Amino acid sequence: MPNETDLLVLGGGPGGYAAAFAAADLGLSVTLVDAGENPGGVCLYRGCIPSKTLLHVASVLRESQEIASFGVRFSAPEIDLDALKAQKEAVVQRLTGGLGQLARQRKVRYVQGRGRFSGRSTLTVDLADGGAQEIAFGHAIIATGSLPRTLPALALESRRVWDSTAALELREVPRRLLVVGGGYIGAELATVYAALGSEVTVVEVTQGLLPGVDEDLVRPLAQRMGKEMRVLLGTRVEHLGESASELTADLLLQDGSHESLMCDAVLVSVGRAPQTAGIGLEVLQLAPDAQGFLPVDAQRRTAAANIYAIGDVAGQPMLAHKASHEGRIAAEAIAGRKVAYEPAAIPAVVFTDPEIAWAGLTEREAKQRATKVQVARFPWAASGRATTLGRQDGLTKILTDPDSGLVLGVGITGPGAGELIAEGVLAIEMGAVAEDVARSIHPHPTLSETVMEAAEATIGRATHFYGR
Amino acid sequence: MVVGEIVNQTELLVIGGGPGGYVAALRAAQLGMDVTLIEEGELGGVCLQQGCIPSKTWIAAADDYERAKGLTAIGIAVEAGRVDLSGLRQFKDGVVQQLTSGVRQLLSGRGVHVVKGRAEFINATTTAVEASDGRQFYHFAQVIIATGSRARQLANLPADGERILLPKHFLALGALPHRLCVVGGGYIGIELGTAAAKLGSEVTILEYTDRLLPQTDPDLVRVVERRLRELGVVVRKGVQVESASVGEEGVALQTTPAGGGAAETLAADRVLVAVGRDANLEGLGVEKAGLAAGPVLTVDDRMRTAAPNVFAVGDVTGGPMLAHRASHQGYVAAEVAAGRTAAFLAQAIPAVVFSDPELATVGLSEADAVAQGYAVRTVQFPMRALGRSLAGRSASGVAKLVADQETGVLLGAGICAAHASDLIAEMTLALEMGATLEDVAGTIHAHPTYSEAWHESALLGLGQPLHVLK
Ligand SMILES: Cc1cc2nc3c(=O)[nH]c(=O)nc-3n(C[C@H](O)[C@H](O)[C@H](O)COP(=O)(O)OP(=O)(O)OC[C@H]3O[C@@H](n4cnc5c(N)ncnc54)[C@H](O)[C@@H]3O)c2cc1C
Ligand SMILES: Cc1cc2nc3c(=O)[nH]c(=O)nc-3n(C[C@H](O)[C@H](O)[C@H](O)COP(=O)(O)OP(=O)(O)OC[C@H]3O[C@@H](n4cnc5c(N)ncnc54)[C@H](O)[C@@H]3O)c2cc1C
Repeated sequence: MPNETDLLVLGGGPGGYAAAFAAADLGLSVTLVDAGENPGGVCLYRGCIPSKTLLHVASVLRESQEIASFGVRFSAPEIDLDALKAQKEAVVQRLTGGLGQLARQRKVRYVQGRGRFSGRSTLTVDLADGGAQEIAFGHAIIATGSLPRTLPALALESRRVWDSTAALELREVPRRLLVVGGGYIGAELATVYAALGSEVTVVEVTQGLLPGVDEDLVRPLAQRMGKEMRVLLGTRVEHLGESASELTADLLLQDGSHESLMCDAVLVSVGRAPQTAGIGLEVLQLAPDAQGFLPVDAQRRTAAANIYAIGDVAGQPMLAHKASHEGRIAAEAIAGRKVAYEPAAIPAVVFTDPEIAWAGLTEREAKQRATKVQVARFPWAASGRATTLGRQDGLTKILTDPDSGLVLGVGITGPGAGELIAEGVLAIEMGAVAEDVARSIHPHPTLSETVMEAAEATIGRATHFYGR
Repeated sequence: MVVGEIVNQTELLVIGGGPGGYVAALRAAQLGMDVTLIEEGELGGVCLQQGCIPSKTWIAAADDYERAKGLTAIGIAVEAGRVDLSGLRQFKDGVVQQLTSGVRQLLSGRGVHVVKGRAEFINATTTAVEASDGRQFYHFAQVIIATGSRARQLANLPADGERILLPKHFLALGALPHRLCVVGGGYIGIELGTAAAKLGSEVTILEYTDRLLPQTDPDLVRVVERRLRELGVVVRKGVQVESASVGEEGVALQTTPAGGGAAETLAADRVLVAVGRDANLEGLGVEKAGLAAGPVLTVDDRMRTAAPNVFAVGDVTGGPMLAHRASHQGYVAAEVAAGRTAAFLAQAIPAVVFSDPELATVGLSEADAVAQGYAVRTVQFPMRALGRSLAGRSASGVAKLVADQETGVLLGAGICAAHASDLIAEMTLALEMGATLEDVAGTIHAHPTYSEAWHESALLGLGQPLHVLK
């Protein structure tokens, strides 16, 4: 059977569609298969985009109350959930519709349905509108992403037990919401629902919010979240029960005591698992590793020569921009270009209030690896711009190599941290030393000056702050 | 000097405590010099007392207010609060006080001797300082002039601080003018006019030339102009103000078209004059230090004037009159004064307008680059193609990169978008590091953020766009 397509991409998230678009631009014939109506994947339909749309609303809601300190008083908000939902849907529709259009303009064939490999170079798709189709391909990229995880103690069939997808549907604003898991998705959605008016309790089994993230960066967030909701650390949910009127969670608290917590909805946000089931991996003679990821090489090629894997299914960090970057690499490799996936730094952003963003080496990693680093911190209390915004709780931190001065890592907490980190990533990618960042003129009065000041502190010449 | 007058000795004298002067003083002290700083007003200069900081406080409040009102459009009913300008003023005063005392602490922590008074040169190594408790003399080995600038006045529109205002008067207002007329469509006029409009004033901006922000890339300015119109601001270009008559009820401005034509009258409650700034050299007596009293002080890349022991930094040395330029110059002057090798060789001085959306540029514009003989590759990326823009309800805007056609080395960048003031830092570093389009395209940018605009622009420049077509 002749190849119907040079490249088949299974999964239309930010990894898959980036790969498909890049391959089409490089002249390959491309088929993109996804279960959704348009490309977009988790990120656009039930991840980054809807969550950031709601987080934006949450931040404006909070501003409308905090603006009282500027002498402007707004009434307490009244929320029309249907209108808000429609607004969020409109954003998702516009972006995914736009991707559909870009796919058509690039002559990427989009097939809506669920695909599974039926041979080393064929995929069978159960089409969304009925029937099945077999597609023969030269190369394939697996970009099937990930799914929310759950825990045995929380396995309760109920409309009131949500995963992140359900939470983003905005079914209701529960009076009392329990969020199980204080990672970034839990923290972001807790922020949304607290702003919408829920009484939120966050339960996290480890000793801190955002496990794995630098503690200096988390501290300002923990302080703020602590004021807006109840945060229980070192706490485990042992059982979840439901009565006609409410849910009951049995908690084992840090001090060993028990508590029964009543609530009206539970959001389970305990991580995500790579999605490899039911796609015919066995046919390809591929198997996931112990964490469930598909092993790949620097070109994102799996053990099967014509099969690549990218995005959440191909390893950590499970982030959209890492998926897109890999997508482009894989597409170029398949098109015969000499490329490799070797980023010096991948930024991560938590869109809470304050935002937290980091890239490159963290202090914890440096300790673990016994890498010697010089750490400079610039507290936003000394920033003019942060003061005008009434937000002095931020922190900017730079890790450098004490011998060469090379910037190894940057971490930022504060409003806009997600934008500010871009400079840090570029600095790491370009092999900048602290002096380069310090000498680069940063406009006044902006929050980006905090990056410069941290770099200045590194080389012992901070202007607006002393000490290291 | 007369017999009996005390002459104080100092190794380095700094005149002016703005972002140029105080940074110079801090750095010189850090390098072990004995430093005296003379400031006639408050520490922090125009920037902290009447410029960057108070204006950005107003703008932050106006933005919050405007965004909060916008909640209604997405299904959240809030009753718009009354704007109580005295509350805003209080907040602003608090911010200024806090930062001023921060500067004072830093200076005293580093052992800088701060003197309140007005300095005037007696000769190339001595100044007299007029203070409330009399006149003192300072003898110095080297001096850094950082006297800054002041708002330019128009002869036919003399500011009275009541009806006809300079930015400093405007930022101290206790009540919002009902009808505000802004004379001057430069960055200060646009920033303050936008804030006033958001807070509820009816605003008209009059500009003499046929463009707002005449120095800035029109592709970027267009976005700001569109938004001004949405906010109900009336923008009138090519208009000259002939005269003003101030009465009980307000001000009547007589205007004529700049190209000639019939006069018109415009009524306003208050008029804000924002038509540029002039270097502060009056009464400073720089001639006595051997310098020509030009409109600005001319300096070399070490910040030296024509007199070997006299440095000048900041607005007093001319444009671009920006705080961060002043600070970096101050830093260089201090290093050179302390005997180190340093020079002000910035490849790129970013400029930001805190308009709506914010507008920021760095390096060469397309027109400048072509004028300098470069064959350029220019790309423009629409912000609305980014998920972040839609999620953040700020979809208008554009990002631009200018690169050398052949090598792909970046020459300039501009952006008009939410967070532009912070986004420009990455491109400034890119220019300083000699980055190419490949470097920016190969750098992973977090999703979903506005910073992806640089990534997408770089990809576009390489012919590999993601969220737009080639
Ligand atoms: C609430 C939430 C918020 C998030 N916020 C952010 C954020 O702010 N920033 C960030 O970087 N990341 C964020 N993420 C993570 C981000 O969404 C993922 O990293 C990203 O979507 C991974 O992209 P991908 O291309 O690997 O796969 P996915 O986006 O998961 O897409 C995989 C696609 O493949 C389809 N698929 C799977 N199997 C098949 C099959 N057999 N046949 C057909 N189609 C199939 C799926 O339906 C899906 O459409 C968030 C995630 C969640 C849940
Ligand atoms: C409304 C407004 C908004 C602005 N916004 C921004 C912005 O967002 N970003 C930006 O970069 N720039 C902005 N600027 C410009 C910025 O304020 C100036 O570029 C900056 O203050 C220049 O610093 P400087 O140190 O040269 O002088 P100045 O800040 O002008 O300080 C000079 C100091 O010297 C003192 N002085 C003068 N003569 C004497 C004397 N003979 N003896 C003793 N003391 C003396 C003065 O009292 C003053 O304190 C703004 C300006 C205004 C008016």
